Amino acid sequence: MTGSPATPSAAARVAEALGHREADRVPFFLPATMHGARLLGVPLPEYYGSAELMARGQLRLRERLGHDAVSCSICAAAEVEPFGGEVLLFEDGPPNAGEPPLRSAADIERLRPPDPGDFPALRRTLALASALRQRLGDEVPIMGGAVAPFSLPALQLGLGRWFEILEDAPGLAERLVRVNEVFCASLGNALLAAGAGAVGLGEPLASPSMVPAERYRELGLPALRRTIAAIRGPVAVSTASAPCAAVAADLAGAGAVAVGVSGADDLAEVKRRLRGRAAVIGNLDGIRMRRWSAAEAERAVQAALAAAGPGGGFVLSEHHGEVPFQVPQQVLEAVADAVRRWGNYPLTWARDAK
Amino acid sequence: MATIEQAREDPSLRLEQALLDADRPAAAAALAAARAREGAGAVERVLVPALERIGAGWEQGRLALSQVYMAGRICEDLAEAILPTAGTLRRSGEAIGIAVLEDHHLLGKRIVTATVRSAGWPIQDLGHGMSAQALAARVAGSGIRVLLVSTLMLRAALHVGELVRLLRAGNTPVRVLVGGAPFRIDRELWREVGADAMGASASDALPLLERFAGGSR
Repeated sequence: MTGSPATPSAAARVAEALGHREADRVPFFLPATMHGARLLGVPLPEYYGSAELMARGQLRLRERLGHDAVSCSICAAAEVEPFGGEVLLFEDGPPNAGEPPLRSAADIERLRPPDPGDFPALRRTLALASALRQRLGDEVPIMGGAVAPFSLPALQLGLGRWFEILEDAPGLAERLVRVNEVFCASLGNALLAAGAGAVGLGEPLASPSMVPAERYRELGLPALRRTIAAIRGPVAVSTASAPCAAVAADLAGAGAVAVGVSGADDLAEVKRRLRGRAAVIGNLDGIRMRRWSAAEAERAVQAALAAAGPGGGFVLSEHHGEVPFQVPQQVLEAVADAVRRWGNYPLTWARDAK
Repeated sequence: MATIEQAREDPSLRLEQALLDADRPAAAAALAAARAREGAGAVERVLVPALERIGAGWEQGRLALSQVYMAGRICEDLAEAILPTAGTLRRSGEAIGIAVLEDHHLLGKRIVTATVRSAGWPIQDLGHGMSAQALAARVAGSGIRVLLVSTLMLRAALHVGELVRLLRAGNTPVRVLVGGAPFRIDRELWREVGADAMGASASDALPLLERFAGGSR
């Protein structure tokens, strides 16, 4: 997959897109971590227990699909371990967080930002970033992932308890978010140091479908801005499949170089709102993907390309940050084929259709 | 959306606004005023419609899940204070249970439980983080006839299929009603897994319970 003057490397293609320019084609990213295990014939719990297996799985998947970036994020649940939580492994789906580890105000008051490198699941994430960087060099962007400070309490406390604290104990909420800022920036910088080229922050609670935008802007957005400023590399922010249109400009204003757009959003409209400020990444729906035929995959890709491709500033991707294990490999291949068929600039067909 | 004048006049709109503001004293005052005017019908004619409008507002993208959650919790407390443990305000009908399948995240269950209890239905919390086998065993012989299953992840939603198979194989006479993000996104999924119905929001549970749990006040 080495680039040539005629065919830029994946890294160059993505850089052009993030710079709001048209490369040879629209770059695409399929965060299908679990499909790597299937290609290797390894059960998911064993796969998630080994950075080496995950690296091999990601590379095998890229050989099949030719996507323009790989992920070194294992799972959001890995981030509860430093706060006393447990990561649960399954044979048929991604790891999940166990019972929320923070149970009382005192738990929050005594909290200090942990060091991500001290905990097994995040150590594996860092090892995965290193292994991928070693094999891919600078040719392919490696995306690290972390949960943003305002959204991490959903795993630390449970979402209901977090909503109650936001409403009833704003001082406690701010204290937790401040601890999370330090942790999140520390994890982001550790990922970059290990080999990631950029960090994607998951911020589902920025979505107005989760928390009213005015409330998010009081506490979550300033925390996001400070966190991005403290991470020494490019940061993309995603609302993890929740609608983002109403806050997309806020996320870009906080310093995100790209914003992940949900399948529920009008992709063209979000791109218009962010024009020149941040690129858009999205917005294929992983749950719907499970039922797609090859023709439906092609139509979905075409629709996204037509909505956001012209002019650059677009990376086609699944919108949640993780393709479900139940999505057939053939669908991923149909998506990849469709990008190569329809995603070549200058996207004349899309401009003509308009 | 109601105007400020309408909200002042209509007790249900007053209550709705107080719930959206998470203003417990104002919500209590609005419900007390409604009870003074409507008597025993206040829950049915004031509280339940307010929760239903809030649920619909979330489904239509006008409101946030945090507002739905806080409204449900406040209403649950308010209703608990005015609904006698047994009596004419309580609904009777088939026994109802609720559980979270394969997950430790309880938000959906708590919102639905609060909504259902606020409307006067007794509902038994069967737990969370349960496998299909554990939940089927818990339901068998429990007398529960309507089971609400909350899911967060796609894999858990697909495990409802196994739950339904186990319940049917054990001849457990229970209706299975499902909810959660995977079912909202893929509107055919509830049929695929063999559920009897799905709710897109917590307030959808109320007409579904009317249909499947029956009974009366």
